[in-house]
Amino acid sequence: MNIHFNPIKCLFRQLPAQMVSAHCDLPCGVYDPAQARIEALSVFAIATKMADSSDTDYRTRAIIIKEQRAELVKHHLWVLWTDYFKPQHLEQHPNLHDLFWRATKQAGETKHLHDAATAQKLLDLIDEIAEIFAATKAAAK
Amino acid sequence: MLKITPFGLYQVAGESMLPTYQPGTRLLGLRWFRRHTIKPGAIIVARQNHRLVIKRLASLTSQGAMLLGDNPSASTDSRSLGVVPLSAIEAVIISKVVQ
Repeated sequence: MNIHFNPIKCLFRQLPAQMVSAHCDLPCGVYDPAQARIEALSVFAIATKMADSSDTDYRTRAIIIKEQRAELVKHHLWVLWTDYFKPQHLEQHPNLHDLFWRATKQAGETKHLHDAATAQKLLDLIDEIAEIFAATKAAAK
Repeated sequence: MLKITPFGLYQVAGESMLPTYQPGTRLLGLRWFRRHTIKPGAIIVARQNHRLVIKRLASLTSQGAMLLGDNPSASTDSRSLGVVPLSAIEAVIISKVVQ
């Protein structure tokens, strides 16, 4: 039996709560897939350099930094997905959810696979998102 | 908007209220209150740009309420967005219920 069980806390965890934002995003509307692409380029470059090195210390550092960059890719994609894109964009681009899902999954793949091809696939998916982003920007003008 | 219940349950998303509140913390807010009785230092929920934000009330001016995050380096608040009218304040946080 869990002696730390607190029924009141458990109840409050289950009750519906309104989300209140304590974010540092910019409601002025500054969004750009380039942020995710720059981090993905870092992942690609690190993977390329890792392939050329047999230095274990260097490779260890590279893995750590690649993990961080891949996480940043996920973050920037999530911001675009959840903050920039709106329901009307999804109507015009019905593959949007699937594309973001595949791109963020691919960012995860680049963490545990160290080859440049995996990173290139991530870049390709971000480029697809960037095309849709550009189309929505053009349509808004 | 009519606030049917005097209390509201809120969940923090983001890091601008660190170290006071971690992301995911659940808070109890008082929604029925007299706005002119809120004191600087109180943590409030306010409507800003069509969304609810949680900030600390830094000061009250004739223009409105100056809101700041407890974690200035990770907070978009009145420094960039300006003051909010008192009518935008939805609730005053009275208790942390779940970390």
